[in-house]
Amino acid sequence: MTSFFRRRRRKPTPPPASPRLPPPASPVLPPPTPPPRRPPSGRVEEIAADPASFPPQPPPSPSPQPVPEPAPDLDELAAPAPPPPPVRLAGQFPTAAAALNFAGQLDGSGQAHDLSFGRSSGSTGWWVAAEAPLAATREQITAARGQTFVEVAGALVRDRGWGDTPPDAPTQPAPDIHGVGVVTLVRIAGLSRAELPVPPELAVLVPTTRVRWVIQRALDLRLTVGYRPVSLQPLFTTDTDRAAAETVLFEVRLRAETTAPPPSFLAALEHEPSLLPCRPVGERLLVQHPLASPLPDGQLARLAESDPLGGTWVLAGPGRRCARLVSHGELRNGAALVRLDDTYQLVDLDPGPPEQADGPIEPSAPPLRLTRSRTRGVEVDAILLYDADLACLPALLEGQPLADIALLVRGRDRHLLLTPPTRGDRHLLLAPGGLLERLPIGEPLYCLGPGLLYLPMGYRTQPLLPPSARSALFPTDANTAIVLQPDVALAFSLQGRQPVWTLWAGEAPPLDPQLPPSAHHTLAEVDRLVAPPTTPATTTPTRRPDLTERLHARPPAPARSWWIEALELEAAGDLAGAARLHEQHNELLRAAHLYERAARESSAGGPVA
Amino acid sequence: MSEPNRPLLELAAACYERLGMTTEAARCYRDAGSYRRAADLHTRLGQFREAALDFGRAGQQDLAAWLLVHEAGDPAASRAALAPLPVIGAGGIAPPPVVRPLRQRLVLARCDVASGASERVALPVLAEACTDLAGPHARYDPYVESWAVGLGEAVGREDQVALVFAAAVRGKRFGAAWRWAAWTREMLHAELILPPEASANRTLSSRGTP
Repeated sequence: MTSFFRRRRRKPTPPPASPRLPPPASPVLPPPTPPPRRPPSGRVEEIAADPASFPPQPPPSPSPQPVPEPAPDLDELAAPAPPPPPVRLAGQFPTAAAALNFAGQLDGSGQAHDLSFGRSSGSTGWWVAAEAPLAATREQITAARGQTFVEVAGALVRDRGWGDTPPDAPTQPAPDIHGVGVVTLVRIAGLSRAELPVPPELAVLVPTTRVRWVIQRALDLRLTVGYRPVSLQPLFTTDTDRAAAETVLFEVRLRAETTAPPPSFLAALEHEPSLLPCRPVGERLLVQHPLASPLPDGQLARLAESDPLGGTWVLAGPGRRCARLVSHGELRNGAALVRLDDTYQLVDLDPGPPEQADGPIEPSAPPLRLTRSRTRGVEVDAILLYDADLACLPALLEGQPLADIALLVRGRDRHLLLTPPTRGDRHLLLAPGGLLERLPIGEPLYCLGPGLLYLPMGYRTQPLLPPSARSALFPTDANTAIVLQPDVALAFSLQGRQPVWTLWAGEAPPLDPQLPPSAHHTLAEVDRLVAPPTTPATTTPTRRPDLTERLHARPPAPARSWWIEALELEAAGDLAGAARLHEQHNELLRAAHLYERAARESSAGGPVA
Repeated sequence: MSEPNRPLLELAAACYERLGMTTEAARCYRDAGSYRRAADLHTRLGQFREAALDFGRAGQQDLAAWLLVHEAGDPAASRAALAPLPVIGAGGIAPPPVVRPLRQRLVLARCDVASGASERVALPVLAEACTDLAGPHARYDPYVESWAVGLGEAVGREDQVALVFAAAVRGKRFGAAWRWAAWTREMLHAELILPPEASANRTLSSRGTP
């Protein structure tokens, strides 16, 4: 372990009387390579080699000739005070953003030298060391929520907060520090939203399928558009296979000749998740608009330009990924991608026989699919269940009022349903008038109509379909319910419905009707009169059951509940009739829900927002 | 997209109302275009801004303005609600609904009081309300009495409130004596004793007043 900072030449003054820190306790950094020996200058010098020096050093230029200073005017009584001597100091910051903010200020002031970065071992503190005037730098560190440390006798001592002279010798050990590169800080600090003016030029990274739309809209707004294919590679990771991780898309450059691009257009670009609008900063840096790094743009651009790996940095904010952009070719005019006129063709001076022009492009209907969308004002009408969910239903519904009317429709053909093998068959749990309750199992559905056409909550059809189109595409009837899912449409036969309580209510004991004795006698007499007389020739030992036994053996006729009738009305599309039936039986909540559905389905768009 | 079926929505709202689901009922009434019913339900729920919105849609800007200043405590929004704006309907642009002058002055005085003005701005309006209530030939406006009472309470002048009630009793407003007695019991914790003529009115009105 070597001291983080050490002096090349110690002052001739005797060592201070305060206790010195042992070398391991001081801020240390294992130098990867021994530093080159410099002639003694009496200045604090960093020993640790920084992974990425900051700021990037400009190419060497011939040193200017020394200009002789003019002789001071003796008549002036108040001569300007000489600048305070720079000292080696460091600031500790809680976040990388604060450290970068301070570094940007310090580098912009032009009074700092030997800027380097470090990080405390085992904690999240960040360090920025430099050689700068103490008084001004102290204030900048405080403004960036940092703490100032000054190097005294080879170790860092917390600054007193006042005065130009360094404080006394250290009294407590300082944490270990290891050097980091400024790129690491830029990566960890990330980007944050900044109130920036609308840039005159934008670079939008667009997937291939969207590039024509963006160019068309930009041309409509009278923007100058250029485009070129580019490939994106990982920016911070260098040990991955770049060719495997490469992504190819288009860079569209938008420039407004007179004013900035319209803010509404910018907002649309920002809110489209497949697009990445960036503002160009310098030649090799793109920063997502309207975000900014804590490091100022100019210094960030110099950092990108000093990257030896080449390419253009693309810095993106939350939810996006940063990349190194490699362009393929020069920018081309964006109007070439947009068809201007179907009938225009070049006409020669001698027209001759005309070439057949391009015909009009026939619009092709996109395939119907489900897309995520906010579904307002809809309730849970049914639930799509899998085999594993059925075991949970008794625990959820036993003893609940919903168990009285909820129906379970089991899936009947797994091959047609394209059932995933890991989840089993799908089943539908529904109730006349809607379940109107959310259960913690299955996928909640809402009834889009007409008929029993269900969609998952949070989805709608793309494109939006009127009721007549839905009826034509998904023909439901009184015995069929259709569930649309993003990958498949499921058809359930309502003929196989069963009350949900059959899942937990087993076979009942045999019913023994207790008829009064007089009724027994009457039935026996009727049986004797009606039954044909037995002939002695018949040898069949089988005995025909008498009327009482037949009465006992006859199963009770299934009662046709009113809510079954309501469900059939609902499936047939008569929602108002079903609602009236619910209202007559005091099921007001379901009646109100059905009335609402009937009212909204009478409009063209249905209940989808 | 056509308009939803209003009668069906009103049936749904009635079901919700019978269930005690007032919020859902108010939403359905609003979707059905029954703004006055939706406003009453929102007022019952204490959602005064929503109620004011519905009152405004129902063409009763004065009620909306009173709710905004007296219940929601927003005099700026109340003044904005009173501003005469034309109504754009199916038949074109219609003139703004007419607001009764006395109601408008009561609302504006309440706005001034809510904005920190002195009680003196309320006294002339309260006197005008007393004149209106005591006049035997004036068409009865139940809002004038209640709003004048609210204005008097807002400025802390119970004597002015008593004058308002007394004017209503003199004008033989239905149930005025009963309301005065109830207000006296609630606010002053005292029993109101009126002359026999007014007491007869009070007894008569107490039978018909729920």
